[in-house]
Amino acid sequence: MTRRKWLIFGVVAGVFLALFWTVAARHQTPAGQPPLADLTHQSLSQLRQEFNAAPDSERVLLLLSPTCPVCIKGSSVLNAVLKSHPGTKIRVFAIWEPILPTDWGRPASTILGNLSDERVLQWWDKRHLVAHLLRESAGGRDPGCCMSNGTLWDVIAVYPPGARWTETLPAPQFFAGPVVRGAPQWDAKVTGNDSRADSSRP
Amino acid sequence: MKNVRSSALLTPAAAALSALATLACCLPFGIGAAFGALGLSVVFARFQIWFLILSIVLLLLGLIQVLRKGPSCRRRSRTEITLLSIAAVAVIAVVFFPQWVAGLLAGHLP
Repeated sequence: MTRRKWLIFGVVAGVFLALFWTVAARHQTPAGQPPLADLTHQSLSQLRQEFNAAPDSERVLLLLSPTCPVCIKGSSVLNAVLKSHPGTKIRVFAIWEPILPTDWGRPASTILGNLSDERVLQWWDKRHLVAHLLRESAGGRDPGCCMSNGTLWDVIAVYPPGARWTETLPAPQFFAGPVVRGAPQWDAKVTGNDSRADSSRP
Repeated sequence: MKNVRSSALLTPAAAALSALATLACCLPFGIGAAFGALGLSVVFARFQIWFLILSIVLLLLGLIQVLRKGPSCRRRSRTEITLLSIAAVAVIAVVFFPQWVAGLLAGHLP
């Protein structure tokens, strides 16, 4: 190879690495949210604590794939729902999990940024721990979609205030998928039920 | 365009489409639904990994086609090289930057 070709190769490799660092290698959550945490058998108890720490809030559990365009669209739709109810007591647990062959890494900052509301906590569940717990707790309820090799994905599960995660995850009050369809359905329920809204809401 | 072989055009185009099909598993809920193609989700979901492998194989095949010297002293077609470059960018983007590509696709969903 000539010197010129080596130079071109070097520039291309440099651009590729810079792009990779900028686009794929950063996993920063939006401002106001704790850092992205990995879910393991040990840290699952931390998720349970967070879930139980907001008993007066409605809790929303999302299962999403970071390279599924419809999941990403669903996360944007849910974020819009949250923004339209700023004073409502809601806690969202966004669980990103590998489903597609392209899901080889944790969600990047650009993906995490779709759920920018401060009431959101984001996790990376490589072992599908929450998906299996949710499937068990749903008690055979089928969202009508969203199953890959026995693993639930692209679903939204909503738990009412007072629901408590003990040994098992409680049965969700609202369970639907994909999120892009389920979030507006849940929004209709939010709009129709103001009892969860705090006093600051008009 | 006179000297361009159709196979040299089709191979990179197929590689790019195959790579994008890897992420198209659930598009029927969005774009596909508009075309009444709900059944496509099952097909795409089942063959995701194969679409990815196929795209890489087709890209390599396209590269061989462009680099291989024919019996004549024919110059490499610019169209072939341009198409192969576009296909290479598409495949590399899906393999190394799938989240970025999925984000772009998500932005265009209805």
